[in-house]
Amino acid sequence: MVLQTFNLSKRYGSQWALKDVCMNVEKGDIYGFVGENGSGKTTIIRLITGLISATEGTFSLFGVDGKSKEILNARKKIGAIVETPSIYLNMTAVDNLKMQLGVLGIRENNQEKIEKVLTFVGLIDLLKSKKIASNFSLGMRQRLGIAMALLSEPEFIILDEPMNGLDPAGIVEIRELILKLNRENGITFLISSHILSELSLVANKYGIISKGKIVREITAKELERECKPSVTIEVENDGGKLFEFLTKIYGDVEQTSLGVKITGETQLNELFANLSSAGFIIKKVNTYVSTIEDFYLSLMGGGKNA
Amino acid sequence: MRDLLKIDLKRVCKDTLFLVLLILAGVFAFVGPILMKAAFSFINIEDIAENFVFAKSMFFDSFSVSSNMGIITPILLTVVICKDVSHGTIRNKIISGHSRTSIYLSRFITLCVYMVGIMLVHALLTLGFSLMFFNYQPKPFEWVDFWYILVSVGFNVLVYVLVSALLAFLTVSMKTAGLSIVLYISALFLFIVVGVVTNLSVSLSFEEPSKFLLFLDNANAFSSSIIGAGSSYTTFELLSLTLPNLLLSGAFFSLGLLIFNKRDLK
Repeated sequence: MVLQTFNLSKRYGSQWALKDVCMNVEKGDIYGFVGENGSGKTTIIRLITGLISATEGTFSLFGVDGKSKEILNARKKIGAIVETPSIYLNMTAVDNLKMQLGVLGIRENNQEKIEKVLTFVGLIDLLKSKKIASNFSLGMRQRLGIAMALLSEPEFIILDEPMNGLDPAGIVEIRELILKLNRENGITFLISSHILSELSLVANKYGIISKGKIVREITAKELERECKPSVTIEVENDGGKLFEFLTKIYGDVEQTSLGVKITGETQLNELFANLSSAGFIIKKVNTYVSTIEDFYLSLMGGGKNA
Repeated sequence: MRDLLKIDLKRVCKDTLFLVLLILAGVFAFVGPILMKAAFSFINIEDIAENFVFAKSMFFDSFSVSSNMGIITPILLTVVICKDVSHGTIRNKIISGHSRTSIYLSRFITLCVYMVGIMLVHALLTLGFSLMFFNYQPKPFEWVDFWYILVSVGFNVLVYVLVSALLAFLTVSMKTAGLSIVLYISALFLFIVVGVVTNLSVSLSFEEPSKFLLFLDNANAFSSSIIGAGSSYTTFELLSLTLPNLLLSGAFFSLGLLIFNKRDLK
């Protein structure tokens, strides 16, 4: 287990930013952290990385208690970007990486390491560039932040909203970088993001948080089962008969403003055959696959009609 | 800690404001003596000035925390040091597994090194330029004077260690560099005012001033008038110039460390 939290809580004044958060990140996971603004995602990340201290509860990082002195050594195995990349804006990319190597106490093969991480994140053009970081685009700064996080060859990388401000090409690059590092180097990831559709392309496990509490922890496979497909049918001259008819054949049927909706795996050719034999003339058929957004909204108390 | 200190020292060195400080150190060192020389020449009192204006007093005055460089140096170094927070790079240090104590200690030592270094450079340049126009002191230079200079410079170093401890404390207690600087300047002026009052009380007193008043006058790091003013120090002066500075530095350092260890960082 890479990370475990035990009733982790954080209070600011009288306001609980986090309350009794229990989550588990196993080795090799790409853990997607999903929640609305102010739900507590960044607070948890700050707690784990040592930027803030917990009011109650604790966590363990690589089996080391978060309150023990040994946690400082455990943190050497992680890399993180919290909110925005922490880079010296008055320095070049290479100088930033040299500074980070200095912070990490790494003195050998520095030039080789710098070239390697810059190539990895697609910024090798900056190797000899005199351009300082304040002139970088947001995407370049994000990538430089990831490069700095990679310098220590971490086992666990924490990314707080890594896709923010990136163009579609940039998002694809970051996503592929994450997948590559996970598959080839076995690096475990904890990624918080609002871009749920992007998260669903990388994460194998999700933690859904709202108002400082974990609402649900779910694996990608379990989510697949939860996000059930549905079919909505509209027929000519219905008069309520279609709903009655389909209820006898299928389990989960409901009348909606767009027609009769059947939730669950439905064989369309079988459905059409049934409707045809009963004399219904099909006007419109819509198939729909529920997504993580729908699942998330349903957990948050919202919903989306098919 | 060693790695952190190397990085912090390097970071300040690479900052444009450090270059600005070095340039100002040279400019003020040159402008002071030459303006004075020009003024005496303009009003035709060069011969008289030779007997009461000496490079020694200019050298020790240049260390003063209320001089141009004495005010500018702490301000600009505070801005540079606080960039670690404004850029968020202090997060890299914590995430990389460095303790809060080492981060704070590295910040304090960096402030001390650059504060003392820049003021020494400025003072030596002032001495160099003023020796071009004025004598060092009224009497011939002897080797015991060299020892006096070293001790006096040592006291001035202690003053800037106190300034560094105060600024290290303020930068972790306040949310912004600006607020830290405002509070520092306020404290500076308060101590200067107190120093003026104690100094006048000592100088203008008809009777022998009390030991307490003398102690207070000597111990005020921000306006102590006896550093470099004579040719030797009594034991009382040595103690009153050293102990309060060391105690206050220790107090500010400890308080700052306590606050930093407890503080949540964004």
